[in-house]
Amino acid sequence: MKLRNTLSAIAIAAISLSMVSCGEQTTSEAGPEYGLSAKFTESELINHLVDNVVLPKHQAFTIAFKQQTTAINNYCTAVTQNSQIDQAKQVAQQAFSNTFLAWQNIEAVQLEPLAKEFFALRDKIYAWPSTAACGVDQEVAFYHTGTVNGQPYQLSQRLKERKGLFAQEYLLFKSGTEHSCRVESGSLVGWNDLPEQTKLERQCNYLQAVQMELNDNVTAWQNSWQQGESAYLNEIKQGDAKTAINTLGQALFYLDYQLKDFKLGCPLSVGPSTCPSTDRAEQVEAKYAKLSNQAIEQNLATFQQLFTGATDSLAGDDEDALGFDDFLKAVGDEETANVIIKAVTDAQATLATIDSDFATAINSQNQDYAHYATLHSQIKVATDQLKTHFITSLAVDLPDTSAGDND
Amino acid sequence: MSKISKVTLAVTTSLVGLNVPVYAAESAEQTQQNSNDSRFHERIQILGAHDKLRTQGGATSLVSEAELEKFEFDDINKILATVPGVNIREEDGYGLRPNIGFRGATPERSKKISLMEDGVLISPAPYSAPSAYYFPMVSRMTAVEVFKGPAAIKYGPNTVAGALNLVTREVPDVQSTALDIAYGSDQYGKIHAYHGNTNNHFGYLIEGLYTRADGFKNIDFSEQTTGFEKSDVMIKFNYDFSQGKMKNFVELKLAYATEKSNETYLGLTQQDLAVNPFRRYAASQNDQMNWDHDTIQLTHYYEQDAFDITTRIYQHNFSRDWAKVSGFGTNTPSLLDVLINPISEENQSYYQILAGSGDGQFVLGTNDRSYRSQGIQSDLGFSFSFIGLEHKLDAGIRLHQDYINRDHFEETYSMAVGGQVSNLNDKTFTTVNQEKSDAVSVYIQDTISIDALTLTAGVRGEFIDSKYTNGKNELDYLKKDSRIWLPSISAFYKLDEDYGVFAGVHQGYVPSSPQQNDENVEAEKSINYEVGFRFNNNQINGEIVGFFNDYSNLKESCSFSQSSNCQLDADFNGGDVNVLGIEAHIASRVNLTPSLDMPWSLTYSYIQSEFQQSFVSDYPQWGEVSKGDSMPYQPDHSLTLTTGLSANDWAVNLQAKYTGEMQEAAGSGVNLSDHLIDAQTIFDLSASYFISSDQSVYLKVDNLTDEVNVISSRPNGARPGKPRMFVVGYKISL
Repeated sequence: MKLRNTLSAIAIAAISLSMVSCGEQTTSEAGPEYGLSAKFTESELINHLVDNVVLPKHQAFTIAFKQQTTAINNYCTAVTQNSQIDQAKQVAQQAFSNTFLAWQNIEAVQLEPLAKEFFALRDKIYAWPSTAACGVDQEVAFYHTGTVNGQPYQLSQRLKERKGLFAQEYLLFKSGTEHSCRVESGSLVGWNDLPEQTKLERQCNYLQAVQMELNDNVTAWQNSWQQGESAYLNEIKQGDAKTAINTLGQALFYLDYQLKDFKLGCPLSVGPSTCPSTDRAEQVEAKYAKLSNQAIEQNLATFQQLFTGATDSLAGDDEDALGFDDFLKAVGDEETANVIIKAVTDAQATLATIDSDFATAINSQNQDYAHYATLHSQIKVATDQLKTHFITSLAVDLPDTSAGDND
Repeated sequence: MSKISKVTLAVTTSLVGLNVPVYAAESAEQTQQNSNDSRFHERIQILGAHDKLRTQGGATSLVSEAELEKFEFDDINKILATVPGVNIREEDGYGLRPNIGFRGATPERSKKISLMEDGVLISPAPYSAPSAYYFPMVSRMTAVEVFKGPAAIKYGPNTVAGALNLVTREVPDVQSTALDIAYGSDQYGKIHAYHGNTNNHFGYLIEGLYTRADGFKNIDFSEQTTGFEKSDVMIKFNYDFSQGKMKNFVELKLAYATEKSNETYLGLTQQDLAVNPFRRYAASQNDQMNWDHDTIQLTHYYEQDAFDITTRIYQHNFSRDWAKVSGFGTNTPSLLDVLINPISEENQSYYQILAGSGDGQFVLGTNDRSYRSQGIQSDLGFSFSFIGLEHKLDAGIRLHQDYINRDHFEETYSMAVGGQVSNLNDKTFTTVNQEKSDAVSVYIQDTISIDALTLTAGVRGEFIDSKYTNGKNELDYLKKDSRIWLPSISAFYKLDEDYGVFAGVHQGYVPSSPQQNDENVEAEKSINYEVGFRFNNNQINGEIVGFFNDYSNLKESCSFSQSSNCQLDADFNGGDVNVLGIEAHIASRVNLTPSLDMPWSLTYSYIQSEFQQSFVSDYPQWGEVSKGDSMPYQPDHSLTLTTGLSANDWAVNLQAKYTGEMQEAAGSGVNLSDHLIDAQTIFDLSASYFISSDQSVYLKVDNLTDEVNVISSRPNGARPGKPRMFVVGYKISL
């Protein structure tokens, strides 16, 4: 009895002890460059990436975009004059391709002005994978009538999937002038019966309107980078270095949520649950312009530059090419840097072997289809590292876009 | 058994932290009388070596001087074979830099245990850099004590696993001189001598120990040996101011030790080890560890009636530089990558550089570090009665400071076909930093006796201010301030005069390094439970303990010894981990004839650990861990049987140690995932012949059956255990 009481007392004491909160209290004060054991500072890394990787891509895009404005205007003039339309259209198509691919470099580094408020500004310029071919046809008709549901037509109020670069791709590359809607209704009633010249003129008018709106948005985007005391360029280069590293680091995740998941994953049926339920070949990006592979190529190249600090004149392993690989090495995680670089290099090599465009490969299930699957797997090797070791080693926050996916 | 003075015994007793009242006395007669008092012996012979049942909770083990002399081991790994609940990763075969853990705690460089010499923290920098690159030479120790469970709460800062205390020789009461010389395989040599005396109130001891060996490995294309040379000198002086029943004395301990060893982190590929396990690649011919260690320690002991207080002032300085092959430069595979897969297209040329069969460049890294550990600590004991209950109060405070200065540099060497190695460039400094800690520790513990029940409750406080500074960038620093209270409670219930049960629970804690910014990350903490049964009826004694360590966050840190490519000293979080196990130790002595005894002991440990969640970690021993995975380098079962025959003028002893298989990484996706170290059984034999009461000769054979297995694939590549080793020795004691 005595033993039982004693053991009970011990047990109660033990339980009490285990419940006692003896939490450690730790406070700390870190130096401004705490944790960095490199020959460069965080600021030098940020400045290099912004000045030598990001801004040149902005410049390349704005140049291409201006050339596109001219080409589209010339094309529409040719349509109006019904003279040398095909030649003008080819020039406009090439200008669009240049602009679109230049945009793919911007896409791969979506910093705050484009990414804030759930990518609002980015979507105004390019909303993919939100696209609506039929919607574009309806907008062409609405824009022509100048009203929507009895209200004056305002392009800025219209849905993002019906305008922007997607609408331009559709209008410039879709064969024929017939609409893409399953049911001809509303403003489109009678469209297919219109004279070819009329349809071309109306489409071109909308194309120009979209270009103008794009110009406004591109200008707004560039102004947010360059103008005023609150210019984003100043903020990212001169503001809190940790925040800037976090922002640039999160930009790398385009490789995950867009390239891996939507551009490749959805058409391969290995994407997230939010993939569209349409035909798989229909989910391929830039299917009208058949620029899907080139877009992926640009995305990978830009990722490689942002990650390694490579530029047009510096190789990634150059001492002056400061990138996240150098940062990882500085914090002792060279292995993660090496794995990511190798995965992206492998993916680029695989992409170079592919001849068929993505939609054709899906429809024919040819040998390139397997290459696309390999490409997806190789990119996943890199994104797995991003979501685990990369964010841990560099204290980068996992972006919401890559949280809770199906990896 | 050496002759022990009353003063030094009392000091040593206090040093090991047993604060029951000390009954040293002024006269030799009384000393003798007290020496024969069992309570007196209890203070240093904690478990299994006395004729009474120890009645404090908490698992403890003592390896006594007599046990240590049985096998004359130089290697702490072998000595701890008879202590249950110890997990060890062997490395060099001689135990130069042991990797010891208790109850599943990571054994890497013994950094998770509180390592002490004479009750004072002896790791180079116990708070700032606890990895024990310095480990006292156990050949000169007279006892090894292990404290686990609630018994460890008095010995911080690391309380998750426990504490290991090495007890040095006491100043003898009468003139005492001894010499031990030995010679063995691979040019092994040992000279161990001491002399001491006590005249009136003044006593002294001088002790020296020198050991060497050429090593049991051979380096390709090189005449360089792979052995070591260690020297150790210790001097003690004490003076007794005691008057009547008041005891009052001081002791000064001065010690110096040095080591030069041609040790490397470079192992072999599995294939090469299978052909010749004792080979070393040509690239390791310049690898060498050099260190110096000095100690100054002043101890004061005071006792009046039931009160005693021991105060120690100590300073340890340690400097080391270890040059060793560290890799091939940037954007190249790690050494372990190459040695795990030497025939791949990418790795083949690197493997050939290591082996000297191809030319190319490799990097020799020298990790030059200096440490200081200093402080003052007081431990007091007080026995009293209160409301009819007997109390034994122990309390202590320690003001401690330690630091590590790192000046790591690298040099590029070229390897030519045929193993010629030449230096190509000057030093490039890599890591240059300092980690420093100032710590205040306090503990108080009360042991209450209520009839057959002995209840012990205590709490320990650790208050640590630390600073990390990057020597190459003044803006890279971290100041940190950590505070924690660690409670413990245990009880022993005497069921009979000869046996009883005990149980306890305590909070485990391991502070993080000053370089880690863990303001928002939980430190390594655990709640540790144990229940046990202890018996001692003079013929047989033993202890069986079940334990359960519930880690709320298991932490590990990166070191070069783990063949890692992680940031040096970076911390990794393993989250919730459960470790449970059983420890048992039974010992007895059978009288076969009036002049022939057969001592035997059995030590068994069972350990099972489980991560409680899945995660991915950069820690080289974890990787992609799934819930339910177990920690690396933990054999499920280990068993040691010692037995022998002891006559009047001769003795033979045999130790057989079985270690179950161990995995080398917890999860998948890292080097050595799914790689196992095979189970192995090692037999060690010793035989002594006592020429006279003063002289003896001995023969010992380590690894009697010449079992050659892979003992570890870390730091970089597979490495064998020590092969069969013969040693003959002669001892004289005057």
